[in-house]
Amino acid sequence: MNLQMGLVLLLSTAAYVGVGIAVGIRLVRLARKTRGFPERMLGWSALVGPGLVAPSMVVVMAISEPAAVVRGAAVVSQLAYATFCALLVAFTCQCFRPDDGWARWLSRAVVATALAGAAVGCARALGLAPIADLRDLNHWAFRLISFAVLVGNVWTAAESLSYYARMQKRRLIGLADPVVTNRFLLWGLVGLGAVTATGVPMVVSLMGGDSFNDVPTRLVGAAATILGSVCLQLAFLPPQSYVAWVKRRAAAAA
Amino acid sequence: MEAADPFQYVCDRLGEQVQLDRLALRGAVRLALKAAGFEPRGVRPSDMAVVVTRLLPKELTACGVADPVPLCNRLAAAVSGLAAGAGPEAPDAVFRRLGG
Repeated sequence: MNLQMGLVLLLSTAAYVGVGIAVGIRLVRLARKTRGFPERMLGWSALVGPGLVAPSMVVVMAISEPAAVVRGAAVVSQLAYATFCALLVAFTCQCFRPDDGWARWLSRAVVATALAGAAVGCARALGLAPIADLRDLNHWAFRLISFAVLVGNVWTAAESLSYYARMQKRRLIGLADPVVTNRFLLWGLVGLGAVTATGVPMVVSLMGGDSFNDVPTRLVGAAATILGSVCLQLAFLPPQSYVAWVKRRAAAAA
Repeated sequence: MEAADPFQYVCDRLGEQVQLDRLALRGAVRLALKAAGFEPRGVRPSDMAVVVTRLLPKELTACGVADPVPLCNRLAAAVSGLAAGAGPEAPDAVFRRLGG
């Protein structure tokens, strides 16, 4: 992997971690005031995903010793990845489908799958696997969590983009705020970015490729991560200029 | 204020005043809601009132109801007086709050 590629990956990871933590802190603080379940779930998922999963995985990938640190980071990454997945589907279920039995069952299935993968991953990290093998993202246990996260993100993106379409119709008769409408689009794009960043490497590895060292795969993942980070920022921590632009655009279209 | 399901309320009141079978009538209200991006379940009275004023006349005309506008205006005034139900929070209310 050359220097430019390394810089792109560093930039995408930094954007994901930085934006995720900033949005997470904002939403967790909001949840303290409002006592709202959705903001609590979304806030903690933004903190746990970018704040714990990404840094702990970087440690596992980057260093070989001390062994206790690498194994500890691997345990944290497995538990955090499964927790992130659980928080994400809890948000989607509670926000979009609070009364639907199928959504509760889907949530439970996704969380159970992620936890099963994390349990095996933790057992391997705690001694069942040599340290070098902990970097193997093609291990079935890690794929299991990734699959659960992928399903969670597909569901999140589908719900948000479908609700965006409905909000567009409401806007035509003055029943939807353009900024809130745009937030559904942005959150849907965050979901699509995550689907791409998780799904493309998974498909490549299932087809026998080396997703970790394949440059096009890593580039697609990095681009999707940067797009998702930008959309996350604009959705939940937007600059005033962006909000004003969305309002101006909606007013001009009316 | 009376708390009732706005969709059911509109269908019931329309049924009392329009010579249409129940299925066609509910279908017209459903189509008006769909065109506005709502589902019958969980629509707020204030939103239902706007849908009834702005979109329902077109659907009723398509069903053969003559001059539905005055009827829809009366219906909208009545439905907007309903109390909002205590159902789960709508996604748009959640996303409004998430923006701060």
